[in-house]
Amino acid sequence: MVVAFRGHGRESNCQPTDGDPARVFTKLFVSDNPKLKQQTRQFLDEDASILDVVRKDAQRLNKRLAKADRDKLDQFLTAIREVEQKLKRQKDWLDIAKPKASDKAIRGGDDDDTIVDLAYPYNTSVMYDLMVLALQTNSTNVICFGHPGGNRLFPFEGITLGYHSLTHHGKRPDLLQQLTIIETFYAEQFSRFLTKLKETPDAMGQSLLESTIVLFGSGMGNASSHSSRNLPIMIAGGGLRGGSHHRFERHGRDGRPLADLFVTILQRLGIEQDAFSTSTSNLNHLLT
Amino acid sequence: MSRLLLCLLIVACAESVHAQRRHRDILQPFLKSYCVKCHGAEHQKADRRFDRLSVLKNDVEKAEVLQEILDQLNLAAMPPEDETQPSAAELKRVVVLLTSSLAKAREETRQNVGKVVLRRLNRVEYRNTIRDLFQLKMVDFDPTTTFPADDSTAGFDNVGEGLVTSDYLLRNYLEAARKVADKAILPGAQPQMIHYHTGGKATPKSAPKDLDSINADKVGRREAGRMFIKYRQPLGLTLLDKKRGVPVDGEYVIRFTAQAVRRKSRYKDEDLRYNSNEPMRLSISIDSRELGASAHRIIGEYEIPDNEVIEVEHHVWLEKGFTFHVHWANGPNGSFKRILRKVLPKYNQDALFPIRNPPEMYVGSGPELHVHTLGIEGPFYETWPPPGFARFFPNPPEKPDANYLDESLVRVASAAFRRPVSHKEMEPYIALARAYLAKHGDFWAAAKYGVRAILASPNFLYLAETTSAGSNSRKVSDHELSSRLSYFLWSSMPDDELRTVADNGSLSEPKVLRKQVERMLSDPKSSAFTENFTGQWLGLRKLGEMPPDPEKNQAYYEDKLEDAMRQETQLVFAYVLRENRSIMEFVHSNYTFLNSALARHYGIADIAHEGFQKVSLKPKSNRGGLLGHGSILTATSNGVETQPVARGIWVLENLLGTPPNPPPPDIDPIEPDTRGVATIRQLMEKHRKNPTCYECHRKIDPIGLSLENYDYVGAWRDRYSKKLRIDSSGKLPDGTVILGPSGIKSFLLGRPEQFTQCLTEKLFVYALGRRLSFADRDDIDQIVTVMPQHNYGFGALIQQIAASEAFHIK
Amino acid sequence: MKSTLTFFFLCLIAATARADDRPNIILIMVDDMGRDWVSCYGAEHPTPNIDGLAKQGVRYETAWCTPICTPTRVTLLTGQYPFRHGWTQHYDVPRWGGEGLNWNKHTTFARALHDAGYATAIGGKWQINHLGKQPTALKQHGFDEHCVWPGVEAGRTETEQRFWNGHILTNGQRAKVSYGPDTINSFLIDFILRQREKPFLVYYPMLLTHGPHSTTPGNQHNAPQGKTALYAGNVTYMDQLVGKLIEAVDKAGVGQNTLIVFTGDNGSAAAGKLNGKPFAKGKGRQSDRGAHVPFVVRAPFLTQGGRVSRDLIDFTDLYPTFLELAKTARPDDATLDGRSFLPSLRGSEDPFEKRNWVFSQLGDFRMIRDWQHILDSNGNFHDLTKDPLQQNEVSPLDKIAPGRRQRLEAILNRFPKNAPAPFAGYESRYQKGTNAD
Repeated sequence: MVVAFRGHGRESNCQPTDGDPARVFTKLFVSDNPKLKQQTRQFLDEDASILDVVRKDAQRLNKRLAKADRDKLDQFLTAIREVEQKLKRQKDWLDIAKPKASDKAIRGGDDDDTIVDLAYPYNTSVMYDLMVLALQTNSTNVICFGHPGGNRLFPFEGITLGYHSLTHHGKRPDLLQQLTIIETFYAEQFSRFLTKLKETPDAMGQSLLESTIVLFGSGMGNASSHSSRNLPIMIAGGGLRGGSHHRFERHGRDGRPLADLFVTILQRLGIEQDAFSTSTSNLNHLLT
Repeated sequence: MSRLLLCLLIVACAESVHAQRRHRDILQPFLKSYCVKCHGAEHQKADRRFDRLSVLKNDVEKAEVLQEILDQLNLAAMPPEDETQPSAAELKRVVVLLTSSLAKAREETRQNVGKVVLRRLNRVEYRNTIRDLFQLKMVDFDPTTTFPADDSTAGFDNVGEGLVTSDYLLRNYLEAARKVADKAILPGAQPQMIHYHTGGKATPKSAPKDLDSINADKVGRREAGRMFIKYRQPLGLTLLDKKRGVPVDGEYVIRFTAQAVRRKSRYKDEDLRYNSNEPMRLSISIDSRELGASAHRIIGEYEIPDNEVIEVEHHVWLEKGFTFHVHWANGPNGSFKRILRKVLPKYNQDALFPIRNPPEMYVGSGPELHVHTLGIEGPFYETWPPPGFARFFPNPPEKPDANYLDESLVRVASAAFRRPVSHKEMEPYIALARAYLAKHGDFWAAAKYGVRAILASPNFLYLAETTSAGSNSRKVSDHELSSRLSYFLWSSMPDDELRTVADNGSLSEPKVLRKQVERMLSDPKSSAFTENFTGQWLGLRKLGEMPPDPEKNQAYYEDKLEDAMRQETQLVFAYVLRENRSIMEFVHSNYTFLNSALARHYGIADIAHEGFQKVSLKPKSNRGGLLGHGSILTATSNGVETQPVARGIWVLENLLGTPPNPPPPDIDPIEPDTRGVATIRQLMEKHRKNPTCYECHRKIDPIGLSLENYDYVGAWRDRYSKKLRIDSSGKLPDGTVILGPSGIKSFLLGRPEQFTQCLTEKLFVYALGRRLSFADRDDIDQIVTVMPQHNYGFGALIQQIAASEAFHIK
Repeated sequence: MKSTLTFFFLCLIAATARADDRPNIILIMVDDMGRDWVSCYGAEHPTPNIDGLAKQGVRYETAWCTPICTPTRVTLLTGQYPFRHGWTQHYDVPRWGGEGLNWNKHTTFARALHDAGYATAIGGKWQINHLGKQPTALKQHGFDEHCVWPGVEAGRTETEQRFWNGHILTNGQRAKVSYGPDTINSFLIDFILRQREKPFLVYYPMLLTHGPHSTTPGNQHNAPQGKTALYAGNVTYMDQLVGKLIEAVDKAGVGQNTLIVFTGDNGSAAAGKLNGKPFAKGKGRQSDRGAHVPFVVRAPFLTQGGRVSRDLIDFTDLYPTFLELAKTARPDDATLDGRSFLPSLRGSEDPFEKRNWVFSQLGDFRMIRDWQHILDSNGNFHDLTKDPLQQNEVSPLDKIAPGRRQRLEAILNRFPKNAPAPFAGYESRYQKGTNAD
């Protein structure tokens, strides 16, 4: 459920996502046994040597290609370089212990009464818990979390149609009512996440919510018409000024592209940048 | 149009001066009279502007604009109906002028455009290539599951320009190579057979087993026994599961004996959620504990007779680590718990609702599928060592040495690089493997290591077409041609025969080429062409992205209509291809391929066969031709309602070959109102009222609305509802009046060259793995002109493409 | 079997002689012995003849009578639960007096079968009528012939002996015999051999293995020491007597067409061993082991046998089973609480033809069980598959058990209150630990 892009423009590609809570937990917190580590070390070394040979072969091939093809193969060579770096990094990291975390989030309590449901959508709270853990143990500084779309039938009381079907409500009140149930669920989960962040201290003793900017929203203002205007966006944490509802228009004095918010976020993160994408200004006057 | 970086070529020749004058005298006034009003300084409708063409530069972009003008004039799409029209003479003059000068420009620019940019194997191609390189069965082995998706360019994901290699993908390649090497290199003796079996002997009238053998609450027993519910109660072999599946890849035989008991019982069908009128069916599934849910696959289904024991033997290729289970495919739907809790109390006053009553109160009273014996034996091999291994490592000596390593790796590389390789070229790879051998002493590990390196080489991963030093010829070599052909028609590497022909240097001879193309089209591997081309040309890959609601469309899921629809389209395509039938049958045909479920969906009576068969359609049928295919009609809807705009665009793109411009970025989307009062035609009024929208939508909407009788899952409807009728009439930009799906069909049938051109263009992109360029017009026009002589045969079209100049130059 | 050929031969003869092909019925009921003394149930003590019967028949894992002899006997004879017939406690009629079982109020299965044309005989212990004061009782209850120990009749000391120098009443004549059980066994064998005209019913409530436990003709010259050893000797001798009887039945050529039931009247009087573990004695106990008795049925005309069944049986089932075999209907409009176990015997899988609970009671104490759980009127609830001696609570983690309990409770609540005592003066005089009869 983690979606991110790396690179820019045409050369960017989508990072792989993972929606399995148990797998995410294992990746972050469970150390491999020594035998597996040794094998991994061996594989990393082997791959590095292969890449060495392959790189030279690519350079040889490059000489015999037409110009446009050379640009393409350059991409390949860049990829080799990046992989070599990553292999080395991964090998270094092998010896660094992963942070410890209780697997209660995925296992449930000892009393056998709390059953942890790892199937969507019940695993939403589990994923959020893992996110808190990840931030708390400083395993990562950036997390992207996406709720999967599709037309699945949410197993909640009162839901009779698939999710996608509900989002194309065409203003029908019964569909809107069902959609509200699901969106209430999303909002509740998000709220719970924020509360947990607030209650969890980081390494320096302050609450995680203080040191984390949380952005929540959707790329559509009206799913029924696929409109990307008037987006519902929430921002919390990071020491930003909250507690207000800010309303923006398309044009005019109150006209604001979403990118203005991103500029504020970037600046808050200490990145000196005045513009981003289609931004016109920033929202510092409202949030900081 | 084209975003390729194109070389500017200034051609200084006498012709251009002459051409300049003719442009000035004939073209400019024409444009001024009839075009500039909407496409000039004041307005630039559809972002087109024609008032500054007077500065004549022989650059390709300009040529593309002129080509477009020519096309629109030829289509009589411009000027719009309601504007001033040129006289027939004027029109002719301009058309002739443009046609000839463009043809000249094309010749000149042939040098530099239309280059295939280095094509990386995409995911599908990689998988197929591995399959053919090592002759592996790739049904349950897929080293590409974690590969990132490939980007599409111009609608196809095998276009080199758009195929990116990220570090993530490269790591995947390394990991995949490791897995492939393990699967492919199998030295040593044929593996020993295993034999697991459970259950006693069953006689035809077996006494029922005593309930003693049923573990009361753990109804998901593992040994051969009984099944009470659909699917969720698998029976298997505990020992096999404990050993984590079969020990090696190979062919295995699964045997079982089973019997249907009490198919009709005292319980009502609706209580059990079960259809007692159907014979019981048992399905066999295979699983891998390591790979998890994604590896689960049903490999067979058998009908189990009532009150008689059936013996079944099922052969299947299993990858290492896979196990199997049997299920009751059409038993009572729901959990066993549910029966004990909710059904039993209706029939037995000693059963309490809604507790989980003792299973002994149910077992023996309802429908049950008894499996008396269950077993597996294998592995079996047709030949050992496996051919995919033996061809690279023939007759390995007892203690293979470094020389054998070298030779074998050269053999592998020659096949993998799809061309002969020299020892010299392979030196680094050989050195790598030898170093490994020296360090670890394990020959086969070193061999695998060498193979892994080869599979990471760009010579394998890319269809590299090199330039020879000092030669200006852009003609592809025979080996490069063989790769182009095989990836076009098979999405995979050349086979031995094709490779031999290339080695002999005779592939580019027309007769030889024709023969190979014919052979390749008849080869089963051409199903990859069907699948991958239809998936993208017709958008079949999108089918399933927005599935309809399960509650409202139960038949869609129960009858597996999505699969059926896809199959219909693929079968039609394959049929037209294989039988060299006219491609116009894609527009309209008097037949299609149906199974009973799809026929039911289409409202076609008297089709009872389970599997797919060619079915003749009645003359008045509303099916026949791609526009009646459920697959396309569903893929162009959003699972909730039809989208006439999407359908209109689909037709323009894929049948007419005249895709509209994308909408302006600032558009107000229409708020759909599905409260049933307004029809979608009424909602789309805005398209007509607003002149900016109208420009493009006058081309799109009439087509889409003419298809409104097909609902969002492609079923035919005469009305929207009791109150609302469907109005499927419309007028195309050139004035043609259309009504219903037959309207656009007639339009297309009346000008077959348009569809031919459209399909040819698509095939060009797919076959060449690059965008179309202006310079391809010659080839395409030639083909379009020639097709009537071949009765528009699809096979002939493919032959034409394979013989075209574009296909032979790099 | 080599005897098959002999059977066939003899059956031919028998067939020509007897027109009525309804099967014979022999009900053998041991006194005071549970499953923990029968080797085919997993006991340590060998009982080869009973085991042999099980090999040819069906061995029922879960059969219930009542925890004490009197209610058990009246229940099986009337086909009604104690709450209906009123005999809810132990009561020794000959010793303590009272009306006894009233044949005008209750029609026993023997009377029903007699009236349907069966020749009927009883051998063993009666004790629910004073046969001195009511000498025609047995005939009234339907038995053509009898060879019984009448019970300890108050005031007649000679009636105190039933084993060595046993006081036995045979078809109206009283006599002192060498060893009571031998006499009775021989009598029944003789009765069987005499049957040619009609199908017969033999009701054999054995004297063994009730106390006082002494030696048997099998071990009298090598007397075992201690109560348990004496008890064990009794069990062995009982097994031999049963073997003799079955042998006679088969030799007489009627084995194929005879249903033989071997069971007990309540839990053991001495603690035995079950499945390698010591098993507490059950007689009189308000628990499963009080009523859980061996139940082996051989009926070659219905089933090949040689199997074990988990089907549930309780003693109200015997009466309707015998009626079905005798192809006759209920003799009056009295309720029959049980159901025939012939479908189970035949091997029917259909749970609707079989029981899904069995019930027992002792006085006001009531208990009900299914295949796995038991619930009683004191609120005790146990999982008998895990905890056969009912020593532990059902785990709270067991999510299914509460539902099972609810079901048993609902059924338990269906039963009416106890009927009033069958006659004036009926009160419990049974005390634990005494060897009263």
